[in-house]
Amino acid sequence: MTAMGAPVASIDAMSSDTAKRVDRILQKRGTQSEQLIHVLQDVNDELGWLPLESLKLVADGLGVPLSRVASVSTFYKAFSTRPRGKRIVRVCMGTACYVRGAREVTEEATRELGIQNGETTADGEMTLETVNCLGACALGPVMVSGGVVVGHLEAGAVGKALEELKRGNQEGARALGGESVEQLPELKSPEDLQSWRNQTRGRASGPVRQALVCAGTGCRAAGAAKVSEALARWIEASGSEARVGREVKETGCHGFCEKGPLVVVRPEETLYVGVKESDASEIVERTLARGEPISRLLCADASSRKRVLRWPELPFYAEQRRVVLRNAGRIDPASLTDYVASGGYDALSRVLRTMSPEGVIEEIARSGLRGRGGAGYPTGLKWKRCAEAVGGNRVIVCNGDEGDPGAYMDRSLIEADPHSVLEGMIIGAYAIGATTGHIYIRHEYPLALEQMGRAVSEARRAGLLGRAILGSRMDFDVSMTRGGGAFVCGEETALLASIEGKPGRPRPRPPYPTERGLFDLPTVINNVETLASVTRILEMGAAAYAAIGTERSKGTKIFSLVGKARNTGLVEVPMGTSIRDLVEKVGGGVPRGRKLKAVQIGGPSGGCLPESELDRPVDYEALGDAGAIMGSGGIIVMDDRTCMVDVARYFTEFLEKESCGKCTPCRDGLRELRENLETVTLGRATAGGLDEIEEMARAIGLGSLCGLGRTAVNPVLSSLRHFRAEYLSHVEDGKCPAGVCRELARFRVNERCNGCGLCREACPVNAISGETRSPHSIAQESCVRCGACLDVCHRGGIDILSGRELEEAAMEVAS
Amino acid sequence: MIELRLDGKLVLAAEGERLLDVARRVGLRIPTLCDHPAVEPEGACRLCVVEVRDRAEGPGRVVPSCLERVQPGLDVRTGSEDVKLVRRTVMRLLLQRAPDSAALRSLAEEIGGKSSGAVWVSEENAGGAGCVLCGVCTRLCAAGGHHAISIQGRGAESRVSGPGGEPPDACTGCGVCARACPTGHIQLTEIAGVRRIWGRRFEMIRCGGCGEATLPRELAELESRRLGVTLVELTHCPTCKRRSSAEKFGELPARRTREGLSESGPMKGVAR
Ligand SMILES: Cc1cc2nc3c(=O)[nH]c(=O)nc-3n(C[C@H](O)[C@H](O)[C@H](O)COP(=O)(O)O)c2cc1C
Ligand code: SF4
Ligand code: SF4
Ligand code: FES
Ligand code: FES
Ligand code: FES
Repeated sequence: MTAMGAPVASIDAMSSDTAKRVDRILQKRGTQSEQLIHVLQDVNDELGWLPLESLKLVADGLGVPLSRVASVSTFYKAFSTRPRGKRIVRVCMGTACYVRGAREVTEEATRELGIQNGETTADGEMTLETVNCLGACALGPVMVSGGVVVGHLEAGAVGKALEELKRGNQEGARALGGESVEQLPELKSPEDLQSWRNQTRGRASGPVRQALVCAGTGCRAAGAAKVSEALARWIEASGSEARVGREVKETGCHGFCEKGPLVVVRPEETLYVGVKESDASEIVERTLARGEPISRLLCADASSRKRVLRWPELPFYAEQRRVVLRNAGRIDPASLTDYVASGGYDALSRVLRTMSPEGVIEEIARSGLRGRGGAGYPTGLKWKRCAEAVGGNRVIVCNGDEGDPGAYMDRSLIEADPHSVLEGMIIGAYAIGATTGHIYIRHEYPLALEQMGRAVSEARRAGLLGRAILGSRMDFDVSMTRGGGAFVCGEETALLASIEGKPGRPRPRPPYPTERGLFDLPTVINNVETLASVTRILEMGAAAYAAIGTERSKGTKIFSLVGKARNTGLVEVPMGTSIRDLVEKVGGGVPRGRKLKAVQIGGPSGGCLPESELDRPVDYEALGDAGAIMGSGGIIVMDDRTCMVDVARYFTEFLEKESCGKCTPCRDGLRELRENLETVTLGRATAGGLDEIEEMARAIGLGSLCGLGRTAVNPVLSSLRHFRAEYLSHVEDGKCPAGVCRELARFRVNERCNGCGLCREACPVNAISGETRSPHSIAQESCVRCGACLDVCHRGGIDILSGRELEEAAMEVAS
Repeated sequence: MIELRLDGKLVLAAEGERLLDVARRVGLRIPTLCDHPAVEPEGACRLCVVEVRDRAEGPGRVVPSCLERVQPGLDVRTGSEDVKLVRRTVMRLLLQRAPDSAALRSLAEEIGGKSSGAVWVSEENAGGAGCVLCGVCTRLCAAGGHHAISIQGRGAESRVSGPGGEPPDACTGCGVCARACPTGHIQLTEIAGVRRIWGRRFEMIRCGGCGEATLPRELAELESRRLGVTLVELTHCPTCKRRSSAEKFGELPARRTREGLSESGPMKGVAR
C-alpha cells in the first residue's frame, strides 16, 4: 500500500487486528449475503462500532457491494458509525416512560454527564442514548446499561443511578440458567411425547411447596435474581430432611411487574410483592416449611388497601381471563420438560396425528382469530391464501419486533412461555406447508432472545423441530433474527427486507407476502400473540375459543396497561371488556387522587379516547369507530397532568424519527406536522393553523406508502376530534390546561396552601419559598415550569395559569 | 383486453398495464418524479397518485399510478379532491428540498403546489438544487452493475452518497446518475478532459475521429473487457461512428461543427 514508516506500521497492525476479528465472525456466520445484518451486529458488538474499514471487510467477505453494506449500517439504530464509550447508558423515551416524566430524566442525565444525547463523555467511559421502549414499561421511567435496568426513576435520582451503573452493578445481567443442561429424550412419535409427559408429571408432583420467583425483565430489574439465589441458599441450608419437598423455580413475567420482584408460593398461591434478598430466610422457614403467610409481603389492594393473601383474589388478576398467558408465571420458560408436563406440544401432536392441513386452517377460521399484531386480519384467511399460492416452498415468520413504545406483551409472552409461540408456529407451518420459519425479535429484548433461542434448540434436540417431526412426514426448522432497532421493521414487508439482509424499507403491496414474501416465496407473517393463541385454540377447540369475546372480535387480548394507573402491567381480558373496566377495575384507577382524562390505545398508530368514550368495549370495530385502533394492545392511561397536544406532538416526533425515508409525505410531511404542532405548544399558532394541521395530517395519511405513514396521523386526528377545546385553549388563551407546555404554563400558589413545604423540597431550582405552616410562593423568574410542585401537592394548592392570567392576578394583588 | 373507467370514460388496456401508462396513452397528464423507464418503479415520491374504486360506490383508495396495475371494472379518478390534496402537499414538501429546480417548478405550476421556501438548506444543496430522495440515481447505478452510490441513513436524514460519504471506489464515472437526476443535485463537471463526480476524477478518452472527450478511461476499459470490443472502437463518439459507417455504405458524410458535436454528445446538458 504505502511506504513503510513507524506510524504507518502501527496503523497496519491495528487494521490487521480488525481484519482478524472480522474474519473470525465471517467464519462463524458463513458468507451468504443474507447474513449481512447478523455479521454487522457481531462486528458492532465486537468493535463497539462500525468503522468504514470493517464495512469494507464485510463487503468483501460476503460478496455484497460496499454501497449496500453502508446503506444497511446507517439504517439501523443498533449500529454505530462513530466510536462509543465503554458503557452505553440508554434512557427510555417510550410513551409509558414519557408520560411518567422521562423527559425530565433525560434532561437530568445530559446535565449530570455534561453531554448530549448520542455523545460520549470525554473520558470515553459513557455514551448516552435514548431508546423507544425497553419493554419494562410498568417500571417507567427506566434507564439501562449493560443489561442492568434501573426503574421508577425520578429526575432527582438520576445522579445516583448513573453512579451505580458506572460501578457496574451487574446483578440483573446474570444469564438465566445459562446453557441448557436438561436431559431430553428424542421424541419419535406421539406416544413418545405422551410417555415423557407422564414421567415428568410424576416427577412434578414431587415437591410439597414451591416458590415461583418471577425472573422477567421487570422483576429482574428490581433484583429478582438475588432473591431467587437467596431462597435456594436458604433451602440448601435448612438441612437435608427439610429440603425435601421445597423448591425454587424461576418463571417468566406474571404481568404485575410494577410490584416486583414477585414470589408466588404454591400450592397456596400466596403472592409476595416487592420481595428483598433479606426476606428469603423467612419465606423459606415460614411459608415454604409451614405454609404460613408473611403479612408484610402481601400485596395491598389498590383501592380497599386490604392485604390480599392469594393472587387470584387481587382485583388485578381477578378481572382477567388468562387463556394465552395460562402458563406465564407458572412454568419455567427455560425448561421444555416443564412445558411438556403442563400439556405442551399436545396440540401439535394431535394436529399431526389426526388433522389435515386444510382442517387446521378451517379450525383457525372457525375460532374467529384475528391477527394480534395490529391490523386484525383473520388468521385463517391469511393461512388459506398462502396455502393456495403458487410456488413450491412456503415460509412462516414470527413477528416479534414489537416496536410500539409502551407495549410489551410479546416480550413477556416469549420470556414466560416461548414454547407456546413456537408450537403455534409449527402448527401454522403444517397448515400452510412451510419447511422453514424465521423468528424476528428486536435487539432491545435480550432476555426474550435468549429464552427463544433456548426453546428452539431444545425443541430441535427433542425432535420437535427438524426432520419427520414426531414421526410424521413433516419437516420444519426455524432460524432467528435479531432486529436492528427500527420501528418500521415491524411492518411486514420491511421485516422481510430486514431478514433478507437489506435496509428495512417497506415495499408496496400487492403483491402481498402470502403470494410473494421472503426471498419471493409465499410467506405468512404472524404476530407472537397470534401464534400463541393458535396453540390455545387447538388445545381448547375453536368453538370454546369463539365463545369468548364479541360478534366480530373473538377470544382474549393481552393489553399492556401503563402510564398513570395504580396497577400497571400486562393483563389478559376477554374481547368486549370495556376500557373503563380495564382502567378502573384491573388498573385500580388513577393514583394520587388525580382525574382520568384520556386513554391512548394502539400505540403510535392509535388514537386518544376521552373519558366519555371509555365505555366502549375492546373490539376491533368499536375502537376503530372512535378513531383509535386495537393495535398491538398498548393502553396508556393519562390523567389531567397530561397535555393532549403534547402527546400528539410526542407521537408525531417519534414517527418522524422512525420514518424509513422512502416516501415523501411520511418523510418530510411528518416533520412539518411536528413543527406545526410545536407552534401550538409554544402558543404561536392561530385557529386557522389547526385547520392546516388537520389538512396536512389527512394528506399524509392518504398519500403515504406503508402503514407507518398512513396511520401516523391517527394520534393527531383523534386528539383534534376529541380534544379540540384543549388545542383552542393553547391557541386562543395561550394556556396549557395540563401545565405541561413550558412556554405557556405558569404556576401560582393559591389559598389552599397550608405551608407543608413539600413543593419547596420538590422544586429542582429552589424557586419556592415560604415558612413551614404559612403560605408559600413561587418566584416566577426562576421557575422552570417543570411541574414538580404540582405533582407533590396533595391539597390542590397550586394553580395552572396562562401568562396573561398570572399578570392579571398580580395586578389584582397590587391594587 | 381489460376495460376500466378513467375519469368517467371507458378505456381499454392490456393485462398488467400500469395506470400511469394507460392514462398517458389516452392523453392525461400525470406528474411523476421517481418513475424512470430503465428501472423498476418504487412508488416513493407519491406525485403520481390517483384515486381508485373497485366498485363505483365503494370507498376510494389513493394509490400511486406508477405501481397500480389495471383491473377489470376499476374506476380511476386522476383529479379528485384527495388526489389534489396529496399532490399539492407532496409538491410543497419537495420544493422545500429543491426550490430552484426547474423540473420541480414546472411540475408545481401544473399541480398548483406552492413553494414555502427552502427548508433543507445545507452546504450540499446550496443553490436550491437539493436532493429529493427519488432514488432514481441509486437504482440506475445498481442496474448498471456499479453499485457505487446508495441511500444512507434513514428518514429525513437519508443521503445519497458513496459508502460512508467518501468518494466511491466503485464509481466508473459513467454519469448516468447525474444525467437522470431531476433536480440537478449531482455535480458533474468536465474540464480539460477530466470529469469530476462524487469527489472522484476521471481521465476522459478522446474520440479517435474528432478528438471529443467520450468516456472515462475506467469505464471504457471495463466495458471493453466486458463486451470484447476494442477501446478505440468503444471511444469513438456517436457522430464519428455514424460517419464511418456512412462512409462504408457510401453515403455523404454529415458535416459537423464542434458545437454541434457537444450538443448531441453523450453528456448533453449535464456539465454544469
Ligand atoms: C409501522 C408498522 C409497525 C408494525 N409493527 C408491528 C410489530 O411490532 N409487531 C407485529 O406483530 N406487527 C406489527 N405490524 C403489523 C405487521 O405489518 C403485520 O400486519 C403483522 O405482523 C401480521 O401479523 P398478525 O396477522 O398475526 O397480526 C406493524 C405494522 C406497521 C405498519
Ligand atoms: S457515475 Fe458513478 S455513481 Fe453515477 S451511476 Fe455511474 S458509476 Fe454510479
Ligand atoms: S440525487 Fe437526484 S436522482 Fe438521486 S435521489 Fe436525489 S434527487 Fe433523485
Ligand atoms: S420501557 Fe419505557 S416505554 Fe416501555
Ligand atoms: S417481570 Fe415480573 S411480573 Fe413482569
Ligand atoms: S412516480 Fe409514482 S410514486 Fe413517484
